[in-house]
Amino acid sequence: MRIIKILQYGSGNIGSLVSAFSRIGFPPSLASDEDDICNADLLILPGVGSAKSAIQRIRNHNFRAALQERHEMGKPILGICLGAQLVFEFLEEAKQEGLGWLPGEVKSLQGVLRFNNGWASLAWEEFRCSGLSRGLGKASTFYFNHQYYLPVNCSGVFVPIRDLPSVPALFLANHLCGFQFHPEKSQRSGLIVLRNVVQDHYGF
Amino acid sequence: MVRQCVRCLYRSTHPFGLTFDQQGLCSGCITHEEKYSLDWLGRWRLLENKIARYCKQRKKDDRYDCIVPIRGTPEYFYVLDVVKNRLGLNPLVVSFNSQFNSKVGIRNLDLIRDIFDVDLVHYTSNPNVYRKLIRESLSVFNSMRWPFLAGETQFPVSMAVEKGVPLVIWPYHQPTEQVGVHSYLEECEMTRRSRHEFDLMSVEPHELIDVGSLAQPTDVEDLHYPSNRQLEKVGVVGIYLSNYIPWDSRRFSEDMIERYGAGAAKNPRTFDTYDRIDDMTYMTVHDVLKQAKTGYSRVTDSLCREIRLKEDAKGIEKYFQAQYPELEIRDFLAWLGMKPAGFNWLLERLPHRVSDGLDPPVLTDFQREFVESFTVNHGLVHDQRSYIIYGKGLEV
Amino acid sequence: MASKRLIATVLIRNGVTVKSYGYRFWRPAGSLATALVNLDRWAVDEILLLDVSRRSVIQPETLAEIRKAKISTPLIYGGGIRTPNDVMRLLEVGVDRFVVESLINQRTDSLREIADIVGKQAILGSLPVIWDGAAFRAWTSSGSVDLDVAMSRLYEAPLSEVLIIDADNEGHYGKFSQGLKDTVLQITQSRESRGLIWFGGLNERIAAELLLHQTTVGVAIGNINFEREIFLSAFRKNLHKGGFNAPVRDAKAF
Repeated sequence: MRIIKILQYGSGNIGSLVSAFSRIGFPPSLASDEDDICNADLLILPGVGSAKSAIQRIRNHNFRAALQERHEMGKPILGICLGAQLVFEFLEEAKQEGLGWLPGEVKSLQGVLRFNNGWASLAWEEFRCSGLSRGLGKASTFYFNHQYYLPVNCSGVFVPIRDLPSVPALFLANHLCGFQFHPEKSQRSGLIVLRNVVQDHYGF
Repeated sequence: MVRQCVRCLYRSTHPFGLTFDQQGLCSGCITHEEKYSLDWLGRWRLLENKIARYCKQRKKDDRYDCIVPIRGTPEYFYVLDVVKNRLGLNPLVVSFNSQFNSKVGIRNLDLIRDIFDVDLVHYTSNPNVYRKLIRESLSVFNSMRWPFLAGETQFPVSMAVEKGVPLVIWPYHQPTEQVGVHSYLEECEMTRRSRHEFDLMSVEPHELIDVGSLAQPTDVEDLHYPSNRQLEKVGVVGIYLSNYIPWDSRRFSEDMIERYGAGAAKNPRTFDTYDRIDDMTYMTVHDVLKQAKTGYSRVTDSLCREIRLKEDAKGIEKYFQAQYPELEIRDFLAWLGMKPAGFNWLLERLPHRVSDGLDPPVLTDFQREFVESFTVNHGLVHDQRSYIIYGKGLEV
Repeated sequence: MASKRLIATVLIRNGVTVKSYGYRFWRPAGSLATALVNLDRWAVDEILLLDVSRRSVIQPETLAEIRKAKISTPLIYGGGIRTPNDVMRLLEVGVDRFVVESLINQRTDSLREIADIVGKQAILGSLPVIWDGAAFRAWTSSGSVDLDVAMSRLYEAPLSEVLIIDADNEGHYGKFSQGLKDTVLQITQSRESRGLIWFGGLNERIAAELLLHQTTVGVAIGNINFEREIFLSAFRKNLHKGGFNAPVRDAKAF
């Protein structure tokens, strides 16, 4: 029985994530100390709000070292929304470093409305090749709500939003996985992609 | 803080919810006032147009124009009169068996079938399963009504899907009639949400089956509402005649008794001799539990209806709420297989005291005159000690 | 670009879920959890839950109902948000985005702290608008305010979108004021863009017109969701196929 834990550090709507994972048959528990961070088979890094507070809160809870250890051991970590952004080198919003596990800077979206709020489909070919698309189709949509976006780089597989080709919707980089959208609030598609990442990608 | 409507007997604690305007009039009374102010001739034309739109989709050799759910009460004669005689439709009439049928109820059902010359599909659940679900309902809700309501509100819809007949015609939307959840102008339609909220008491069939439950998932298989995919495929829509005709249960029932000889009979706990007379437990066991749970009973609903059409009648409410149907309750418990002590224990846990029959109030002359103004042509609803599941209706 | 949103509104007043009519009259509308679950089942793009009680304070019962509903559709909540703690409590039960009103006019420090917790993308400013006989005015918790002034305050605040409410015509299908739309669009023209969401008496045609405007990011529909079974999915299909070509999520996406 694989253990999924969600990092509890005061950032994010954990209840909905717990609900979502339970619905796909993988009821998670909460990771609230270093042991939990290390022992979980899959650690979920949630996050909403400002990158600065999130980094600060990780520091306040003394999770930095345990997270680094887990990453160095190559144990599965799934970041969601802000949680996915934190794994990169530099966070423009916070004007400071993130966890630094992947190269790149998380920058602000430019353009007329500066926020990407709402439902969008993913670039289908890339999505299909990522191995996360089982049970989904070209028209499947996911819910986005962000101002800053993931940087693309060659250290992993990046699947962009269909109509915003320079904005990644998700990435896969060895044991690290990140969703810019909120799978727990993406209705049926969200539950399916969560199931896919747990079963097909991580092999649970 | 509990608020009381300045006109009718409903309070803010009504299980369907109740709001008030600045004068203290409740949302139910406000909707009711539309019966006097709307252009009902125009609304009848709206109904005709709506029916024409749905019937336009029907192919020439389709047998039925609509599905009409019925019960064995005079009011449903009126529904068929509207559907067949005034709208000129050919309905498939359906009925979900309460299994507590009274003789007058069975007779009324058969009369409807005969007089209006319709096909009638009657559905009866396995009585042993039904009994199990009633026990479960009592345990979960302190009410015995859930299994019947779950069945009655889904069977016509399932038939609509099965037969490919999109239109389901209901007489009225009870929460609108009672507490004004909608205005008649909004032409509300049948929804899963309304069924869930107001009929199923927010518990879906699969949710009733819990750890420790007597019932199995298969026991509620025939109580599931069709999926939206199924509804959309046929285009099923349920309409309420009360959005197009100013509904007056009493007047319609008396009209049908006069014209078609519909049966009316006395109930121990209300003056209304037309409403729910088809079900021997409704005005006895169910009514007592309802009063113990909520503080009001069916006579309250009937009075609110009449008050909105007539005058204050708190004394009438107190009189009927004091009537304790001892024998009828004992018959039900024998059927259910529950001891009287078990039922009393249930009642004692509930917030409102129900009279045990001692010192019922006396009706004034005016009140007695009002009570006796309701027609009775079939004696008592409870004219026998056992329930009818299948009955011979008319003497052939 | 994300598609524009078809948002379903649920209003609560003094702890009761209600259908609202111009914020002057209300009808009971059943339980909050049922309303949320039903809209979740219909897969609307977002659910907007507004507490319209006179002095709204976030009720524990409301939080309990939201938690009970366990929906997987994004949920926006507005009404009585005054402190960061309010936002934390809402976050805990599954609320994703937050509508603020009085905070914009009064307690700007709290608003900055809230922006820190949830991010500007999760904050919306509310702008109920009324017609006072001579002009459109913003109807705020501190009285009616010049629309231009109210708009300026909204644009200075750390938020991503503005909810424009036609308060007079709310609850009256098809009665949304074109004059209000023109006035608001004129005021916002000269300003840096914020996404606009429109609510109050919309019908299909009005919704489609609004959706085609560049700064509109969503339209919200309220009462009628309680009156029909297959309303919003038909609404969505008609927005596409009824010749409107409105850029909302396609029904095929479900």
